[in-house]
Amino acid sequence: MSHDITHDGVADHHDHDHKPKGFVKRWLMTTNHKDIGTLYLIFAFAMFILGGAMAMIIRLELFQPGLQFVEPDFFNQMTTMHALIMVFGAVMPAFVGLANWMIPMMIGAPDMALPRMNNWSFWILPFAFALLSSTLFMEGGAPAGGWTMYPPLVLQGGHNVAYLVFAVHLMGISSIMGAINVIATIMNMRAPNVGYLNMPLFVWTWLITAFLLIAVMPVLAGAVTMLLTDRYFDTSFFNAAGGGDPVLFQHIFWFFGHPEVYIMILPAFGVVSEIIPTFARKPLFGYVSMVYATAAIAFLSFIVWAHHMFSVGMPLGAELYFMYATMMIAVPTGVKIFNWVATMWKGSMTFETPMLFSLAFVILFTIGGFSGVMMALAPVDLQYHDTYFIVAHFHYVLVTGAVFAIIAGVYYWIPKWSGHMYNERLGKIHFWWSTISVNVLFFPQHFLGLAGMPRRIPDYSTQFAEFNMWSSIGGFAFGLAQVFFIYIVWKTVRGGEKATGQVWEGAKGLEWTVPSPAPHHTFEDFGPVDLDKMAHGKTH
Amino acid sequence: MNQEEKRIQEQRKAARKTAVILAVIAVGFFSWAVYIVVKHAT
Ligand code: HEM
Ligand SMILES: [Cu+2]
Repeated sequence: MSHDITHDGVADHHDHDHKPKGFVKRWLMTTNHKDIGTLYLIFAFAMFILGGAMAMIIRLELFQPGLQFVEPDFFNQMTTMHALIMVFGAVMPAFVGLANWMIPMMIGAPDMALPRMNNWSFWILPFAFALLSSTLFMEGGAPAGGWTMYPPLVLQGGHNVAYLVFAVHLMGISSIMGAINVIATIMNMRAPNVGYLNMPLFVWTWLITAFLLIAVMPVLAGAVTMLLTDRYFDTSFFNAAGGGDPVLFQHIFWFFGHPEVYIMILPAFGVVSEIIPTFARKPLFGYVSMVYATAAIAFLSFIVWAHHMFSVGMPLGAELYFMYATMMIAVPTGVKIFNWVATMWKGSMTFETPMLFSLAFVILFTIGGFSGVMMALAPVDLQYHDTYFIVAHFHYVLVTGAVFAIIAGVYYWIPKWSGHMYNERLGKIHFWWSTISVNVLFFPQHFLGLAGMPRRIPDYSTQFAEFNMWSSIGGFAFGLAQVFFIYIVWKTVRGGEKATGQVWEGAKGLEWTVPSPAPHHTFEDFGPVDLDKMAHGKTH
Repeated sequence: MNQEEKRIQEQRKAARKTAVILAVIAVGFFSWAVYIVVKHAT
């Protein structure tokens, strides 16, 4: 069999679109990267709704000062579960879904390197979240000590500790297996003529993210395992009375936790770096510097963790070190923002929905970055810490950052997945509705924090009433906008204008050389691909 | 076995090796975290 060097990813000598028949064979036992990608995305969507419902309860209670709707302990369960579900159930699986769908097609690989492990990585997740969510119905309720699980507080819950720990173990195993698969795929399965510096930025950012995952998920697993033994087997790893140290848990947790926030944002950088060149109709500015900046951010993310602990107490030298190290992250992040803007400079831009969400990402993520640098200043963080200022910070980077990038990616790639164009008018309505409401939701929280309103408290004094009311109104509107998003996605999957293989006029990359919807199997022959079709196919 | 099948097998074999190395690294990080705490606690 000969390899046609300009083949379009789908061999035409026989039919490659034979999907397995029947629900069990097609979905439960699937080893196909596209089907597994779909499963991840659906799961993430479901968790987004569940976590979102909890956020609505939180904003409902905070609509007015005083206690109106829920018990304080239940409120704490909501803040804890909301964060755990959004971080581990929505944002991370959504990016793994995008990785599964796109990475093999972007590098000319027929599938992920380890397809059966891929099936496991996904199907562990529903069990993990069933375990975690079941605690809501237990005596004593769900974990309520915060997603950071600090001892001794977290150990004072009921038996939910055991469920929490096992759920975290399962999520950890799932994402480690997913990360191993991503790295093994990128390192070994690229089409023979695709080099590392030909890879799209989404592939690069995921490669680096996967290394972060492999380094820090086991550390989290270790930390929660010791929580478990402290709770049930009389160890005192984190118990001062027994010679342990609760502050050590915080160090271990944040050694995981800070890289974790970059695990949630690096793939978002990748998505946006795909979309902006397409709609600016220009190649990405500074491709190689983007790769280096991503690597630099990943490296720095390991050496800044204690900026979450300025108020816990550290030697002065350590406070200074973590302060300056944290501020350095702004440098490679600035490189990225500069490159996105430079890509648009003098481009012939159009503003389809994926581009709108990407532009909002660039602006609003940067606002979150700025408040991050403010909190990096140790002396002032003593005031900001544990207030709504930090809640505003991480929702700008996570909602208008990570979640906006996921939404942008869904609009960008859904024609490739489903074979249908989404409705552009509805997409734009969704964009403006989300973008306005999300700012009404989170911007006032900066002021609340600066004025001293603490996070994770169901009640507040009356001077905070007005901003909280606005924040809640924005929250309900944003929640509704995402129900609308589900409707748009549903409508697109069910029908709509037929998408071409190319989909977007300015798009470049191997994924656009296959038909839409992408056939069940693509790039099956492991042959060389046409480098001219790749955005960075020429050597740099 | 033709060229193509051979390359497929080689690529999958290399991928499995990568996966095993990465899994060992992951276990290493787990042990390291536990080691740090145990050392500190005693
Ligand atoms: C220039 C970049 C950034 C800097 C300098 C920065 C700095 C900080 C600092 C100092 C804190 C601790 C505040 C406190 O507890 O008093 C913090 C909290 C946080 N940051 Fe960032 N950050 C940056 C980017 C990001 C990104 C990109 C994400 C996620 C995508 C993120 C997510 C978070 C989260 C979730 C917390 C709160 C953790 C918690 O206590 O629950 N940050 N950030
Ligand atoms: Cu951090």
